[in-house]
Amino acid sequence: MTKQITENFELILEGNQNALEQIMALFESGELEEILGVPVLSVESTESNDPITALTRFLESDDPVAVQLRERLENSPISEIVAQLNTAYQNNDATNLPYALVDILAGSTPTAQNKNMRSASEGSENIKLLRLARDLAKKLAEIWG
Amino acid sequence: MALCSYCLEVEKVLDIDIQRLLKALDQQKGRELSDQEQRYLCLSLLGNEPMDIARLDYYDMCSYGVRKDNPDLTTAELEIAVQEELKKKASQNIRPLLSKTINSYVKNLMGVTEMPSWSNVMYFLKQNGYTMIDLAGKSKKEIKIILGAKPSDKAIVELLQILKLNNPNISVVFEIKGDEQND
Repeated sequence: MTKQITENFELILEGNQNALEQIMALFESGELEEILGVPVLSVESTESNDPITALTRFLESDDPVAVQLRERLENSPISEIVAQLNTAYQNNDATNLPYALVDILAGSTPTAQNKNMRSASEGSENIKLLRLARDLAKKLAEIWG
Repeated sequence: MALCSYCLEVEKVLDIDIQRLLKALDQQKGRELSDQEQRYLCLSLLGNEPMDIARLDYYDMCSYGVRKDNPDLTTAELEIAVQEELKKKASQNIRPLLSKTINSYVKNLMGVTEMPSWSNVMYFLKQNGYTMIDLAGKSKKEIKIILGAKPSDKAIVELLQILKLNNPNISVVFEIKGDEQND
């Protein structure tokens, strides 16, 4: 037994601009209806709320934290930064996350350098790095929390 | 466990981390899924109904059997008889086997007692990290297609296959609002 909850159905996909254009072309030519085998009433697009997309959007924004992050990691593609931040966020609790982010910002692996950072908080550069890491941790919590 | 060709199709078209999913289902079963279970899982994820699976697995056998027992049938009559045999295979063999094995493991994994619809399974997999993370680094758009009726699961997979040919970055269907629910 099945029941229909609403009259119309919404099929939701995520894609880039090219994907949207292709779907629109299929819709306008009538092929979309042919492929799906049901009437297609309309095609709409909005910005995605996917967490990875949300972070990507943040990193590409003019937010001061995002700008500083891009300046520090200028040689890394956004996709790589997203992957690193995602791994750090998944594998660290709120207390340890800033230190894991320091490693990413310093372009190092989470080893001895991290420990040095924790014990030797001297040096304005290190303090700046830790401050940025803490701000970034807050932003990640806002986006993914 | 070696991945079958359907596993690769599931990864490519649906962005599902099939290795992780197989491991999770192995745990639900208590041992490794058999080759047949693995194949049926993939075929189901690719939107195939029991009748589609019966057609893949039993068409030649049914066709041979019907032709042997009814040598005087015309081609059209033969095809109708074969379809009837396939329906029997789907309801008597494939559906019970799916229910006892794959569907049971999936229900346990999802923590539900009734088998959810295909789109709800897809949504669960996406929400619980069984999909490959798309790190294309480009802002993505949510594309909403408003439909006058519910398309078949297979039709949605076919659409994704077509879109993926030109846009490898397009993600899997993650929600069908107004979906049918199993009672």
